[in-house]
Amino acid sequence: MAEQGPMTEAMYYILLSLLRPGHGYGMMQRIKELSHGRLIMGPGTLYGVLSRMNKEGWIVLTGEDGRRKNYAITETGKNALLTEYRRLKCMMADGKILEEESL
Amino acid sequence: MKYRYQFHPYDYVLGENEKFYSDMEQKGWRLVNRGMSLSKFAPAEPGSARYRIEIVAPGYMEAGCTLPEEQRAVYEDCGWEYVAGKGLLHIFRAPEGSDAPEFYTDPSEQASAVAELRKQYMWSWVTPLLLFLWNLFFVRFPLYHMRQNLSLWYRGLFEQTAAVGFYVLIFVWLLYMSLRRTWYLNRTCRRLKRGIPLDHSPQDRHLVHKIASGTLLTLIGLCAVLTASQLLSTKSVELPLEADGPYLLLSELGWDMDRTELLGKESSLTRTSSLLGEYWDVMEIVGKNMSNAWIYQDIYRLRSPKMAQNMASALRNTTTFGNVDDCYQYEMDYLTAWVYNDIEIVVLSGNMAAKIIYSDSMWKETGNIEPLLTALYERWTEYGLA
Repeated sequence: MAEQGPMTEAMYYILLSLLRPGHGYGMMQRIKELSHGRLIMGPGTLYGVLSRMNKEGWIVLTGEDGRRKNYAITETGKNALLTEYRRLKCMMADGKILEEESL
Repeated sequence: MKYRYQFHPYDYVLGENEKFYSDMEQKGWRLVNRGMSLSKFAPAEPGSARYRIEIVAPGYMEAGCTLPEEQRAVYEDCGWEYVAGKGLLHIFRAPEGSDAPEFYTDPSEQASAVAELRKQYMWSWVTPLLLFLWNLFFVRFPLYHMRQNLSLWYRGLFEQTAAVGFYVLIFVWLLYMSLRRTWYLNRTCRRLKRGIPLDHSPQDRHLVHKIASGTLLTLIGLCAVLTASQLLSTKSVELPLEADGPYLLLSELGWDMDRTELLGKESSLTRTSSLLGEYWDVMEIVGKNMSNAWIYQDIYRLRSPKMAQNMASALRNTTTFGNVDDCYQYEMDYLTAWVYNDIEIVVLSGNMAAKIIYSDSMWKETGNIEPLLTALYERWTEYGLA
């Protein structure tokens, strides 16, 4: 990806979950765990994003277990995730003004 | 086991299809398979179940129209049961009480799948349009003879009004359905991109579409019935010895010979009634020893003189023995004739028009055109000339 725009919530959490390699259903469970039950990702959403990120080279197929395929995040994917994390962190810091104003 | 078959909604109305299968399950019919237009159901305990459709378009999942095993495994791990797949659509079912998550928690992701479906249908309206134009302009003559082709259509409109109507309406319907599908998928994509999830149990809507589609289908059905009735009422009979319509017999033109065959053709008369007029197709061949004479007549009795004028123009554009302007015009009281190469003539009078091809010379200096036209005019006055 030449220039990285903001990620969707689904992209962000899928990359985050793939810091520990896994298969589709495992990723969904992991995303639920990472988001403390807030995000229950649909399998259609997951599969669509996986397919695109695989094409982009953000994730890579590491093996097959029957019908299931295992993926892992690539260096490019990690960089993209870090860029997004920093962007979100900046946004969080900027948003602190809200807490100050409410005080 | 006794199965039930029922027509399902069109592929592109995803929510309607999902609701259709859920409703059938409520009535005690569980989906077994989906065909091109029909779905197969097996009897089951009536109950509520969710049905969801996944789209697999070539290029999207990188595996043709087959649902990838991996994708199916993920859906099944989530609690969805794969039921059937046909073409681009693959149907899953979640039984009552299942906590299987919706396929798309992010509607914009589903927009990508629907966009692929739209891509498949994007130019589908072009096919019926091209077929229609092809038929319109390539009826008999090459494209550059557009005037001749349109004239043939005009003649066909009067000879087989309902059949031409049926044919045109079929294309209009195909075109309408293709455009409607493109419009609908565009709209669905826009809504999904805006974050509005797909409606999985839409209420009865699309009133304008139902009226438009219903009207077109009713007209198509009506034209089909009229075409069938016209075909049944069209009679091709042996040509009588005395004229019983606005046509001439060779005996009236001075040929005292018996009917005979020529190149496998016999004398015949076909009379057709259409919505816009009546049409007589007459062939007569007489002969004695080695000599013979023949006449071929296309006679039209139309609803108005204006129609007859247009028909005469169409007949002149589709002559067999000469170009439209390659003729001489012959004027008589209340009648106009255009003679082509001494053998073919187009006649117009009031609400009647005809094309006659006659084996005898109709050359104005030496031929018998005047007796022929006089006899024809008299016959027309007997049979509805207005």
